[in-house]
Amino acid sequence: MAYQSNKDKVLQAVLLDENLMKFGNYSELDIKSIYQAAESENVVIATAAKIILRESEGASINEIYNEISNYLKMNV
Amino acid sequence: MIINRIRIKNYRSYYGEVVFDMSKGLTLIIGDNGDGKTTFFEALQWLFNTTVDDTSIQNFSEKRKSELEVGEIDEVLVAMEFEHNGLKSVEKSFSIERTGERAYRTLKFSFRGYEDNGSERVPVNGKNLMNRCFDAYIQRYSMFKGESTLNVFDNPTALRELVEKFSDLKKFETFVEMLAEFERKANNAYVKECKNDEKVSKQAKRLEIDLRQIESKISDTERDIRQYQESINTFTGKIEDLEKHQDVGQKYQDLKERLHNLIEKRNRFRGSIAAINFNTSLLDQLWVLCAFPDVLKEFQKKSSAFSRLKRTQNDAFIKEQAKREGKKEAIDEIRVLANGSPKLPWYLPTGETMQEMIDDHICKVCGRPVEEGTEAYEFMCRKLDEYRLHLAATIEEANDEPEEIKLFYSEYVEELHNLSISLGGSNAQEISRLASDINDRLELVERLKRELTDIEGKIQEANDEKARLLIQTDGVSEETLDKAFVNMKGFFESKSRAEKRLIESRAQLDRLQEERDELQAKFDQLKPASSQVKVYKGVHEVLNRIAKAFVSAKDKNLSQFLRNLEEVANTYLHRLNATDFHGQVRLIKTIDNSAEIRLFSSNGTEVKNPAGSQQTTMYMSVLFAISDLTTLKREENYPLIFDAATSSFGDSKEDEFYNIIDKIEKQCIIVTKDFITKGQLRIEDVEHLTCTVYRIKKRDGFSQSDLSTICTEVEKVK
Repeated sequence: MAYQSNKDKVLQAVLLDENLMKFGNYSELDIKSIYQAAESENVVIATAAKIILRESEGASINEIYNEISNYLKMNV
Repeated sequence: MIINRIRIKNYRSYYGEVVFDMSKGLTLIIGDNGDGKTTFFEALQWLFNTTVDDTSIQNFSEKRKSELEVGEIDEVLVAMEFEHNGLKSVEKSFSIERTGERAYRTLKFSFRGYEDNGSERVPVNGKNLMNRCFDAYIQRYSMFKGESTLNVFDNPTALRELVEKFSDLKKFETFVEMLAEFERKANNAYVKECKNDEKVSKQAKRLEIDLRQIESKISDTERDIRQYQESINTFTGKIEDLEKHQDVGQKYQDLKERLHNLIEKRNRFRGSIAAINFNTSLLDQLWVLCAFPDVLKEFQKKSSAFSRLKRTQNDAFIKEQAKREGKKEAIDEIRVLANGSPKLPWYLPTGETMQEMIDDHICKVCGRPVEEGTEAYEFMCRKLDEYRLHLAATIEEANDEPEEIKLFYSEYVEELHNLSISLGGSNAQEISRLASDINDRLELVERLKRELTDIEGKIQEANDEKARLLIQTDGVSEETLDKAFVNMKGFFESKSRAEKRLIESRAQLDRLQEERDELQAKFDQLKPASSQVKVYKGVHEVLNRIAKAFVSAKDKNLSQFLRNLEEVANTYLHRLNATDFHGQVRLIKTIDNSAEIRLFSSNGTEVKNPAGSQQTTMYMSVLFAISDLTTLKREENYPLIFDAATSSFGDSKEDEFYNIIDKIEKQCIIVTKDFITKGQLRIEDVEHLTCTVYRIKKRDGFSQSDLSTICTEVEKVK
């Protein structure tokens, strides 16, 4: 990633957690910019990215939870 | 932001308008106590404050106020010209009008700003400009009053704020809290579904109850751990305080004992002196007679002289009579002794005394034996006969003969002589002893008084020493030092107990968390019939894992931030202590999510109580490091302004320190009383400085009791 916003950096820091990588079954190469990550097929990557993105857009905790929960129910 | 110029008008001791042109490096403002250093600092604080429109009349120059006529108006103003993305200025002012003899009112508060917009100077709102260019957050890490405010991590929320503002990754706190909430919600939803599932509802309900119980115990244990930790921190702080002052505490106890002994001794001496009461002794001890021996001596001398004179005159009279009457007895009676001295009168010694001496064969006046038949014996017998004859003659004459013509008809001289004899002897001896008694007493009192003066001097010295000792202890009270030894043991015991309980509680927490994980694992292992439940389980698991990853990332981010800050702080520490021991700064994360600044030697030993100047440079190096961060993140420099930050420095460290600061690429303004000795600026030391120097000073001729005579003068020294 060329330019990294704070969102990109936070996402990268979280997704590089070894335990999460093992659980989510993805590698470092799968970690892209936040917008790309939010569309990822990997549920763990997409969930983390969506949370960070929606928070930066000013969504409330309940809104974010409902969206994430619904997404996960459809995809987990 | 680089400050170019500060203008102060009629602000407290700054009468009229004064101007400070700031260097882009270091500017020193040097003044003695009461010359206006802190007033300068507070003038800047007043200018930068955007939360309160402070129009306190106390900020108006007392001198200017005293000159105002009724109806006259003048203003107090503080202004700053600075560079921050172009040239800007800001000024805050208000006016005072005198309305009566001692009545004033404030008017026209103004907070204006100006920005250069190409060729124009555009007026803007001063408050907004200040918030934009030098907001309260930046000010917190730019302005420091006194050495005690240099430790930025004294504020427990400082680290969290710094990380939020200046770390590479922000908002971790927000995400961690959010994900914890998501995990909890997802878990509740999963458990609820489990309880509704036909197959596993019974187990789910049982597990949920168990889980709730465990969570409650975990919560209680975590609360206990926090409390024990706080107690440990409190006792550690108290013990460190006592240890810091242990030497002083010991000296204090020694001093106290010495004082106690001296005071007891003084009281004994005072008692002894009071016991000797000269007034009562005058009569009770007959001191009033102390001059008596000399008086008696004189009296005896005079009475003896009178007696001798009377006898001489009487003898001469009788001789004359005898010559006239031609009586042989008279001539016989006027016999002189062998050496020509007149003999004693007939009545001395007495008849009884003479008979006694004759009977005892010894003269009891000179002590020589007198044997019968000797001339001395015959003399004594004749004398006795004479005595008896005189006695008989006196009686006969009184009865028969007409009164004889005498020279002396009274016997006052004899009476005096008898009196002088009666006053002598053992009485005189006793009274003569009085003089030496009195002398002894007076000498004793003088000696006691001298020793008392000496002891009082020692008590004063001890009290002065105690006062100096207390000054060294940075505000620790006598009571604290008094209790130090008693408390130290108690504190150690209490701390030890709390540490023991903390270990037990942590072990218990680990067990409870294991239990909870086991219960949670049992929950996860439930095989519900409904696929819906499996979905909820999946949702919970993903959110749980992501939550843990956020926590881990937050901790790593914080650690990285502290390491980066530490690295930069150490480069500054090295520079600020170029020729002295500097050690290494370490920023240690504390259990309450704050940090501590500690100093270590390169061999790993912690420098527990760094000396004043060492501690100051340690804190300053962290401040410079934060300032670097600020510059990096905001792409803008900010000045560092210190009021009396170097009061613990010795003279030899001062100029070295300031010259180093001048070379650091950072604008610093330091208000200090360094380089002043006995009210005078040490020009030869100031000459060694490379920075801009101002001297501020109270104008001469002020009254020590009238504030309106005080006025700070400003002089640019270099």
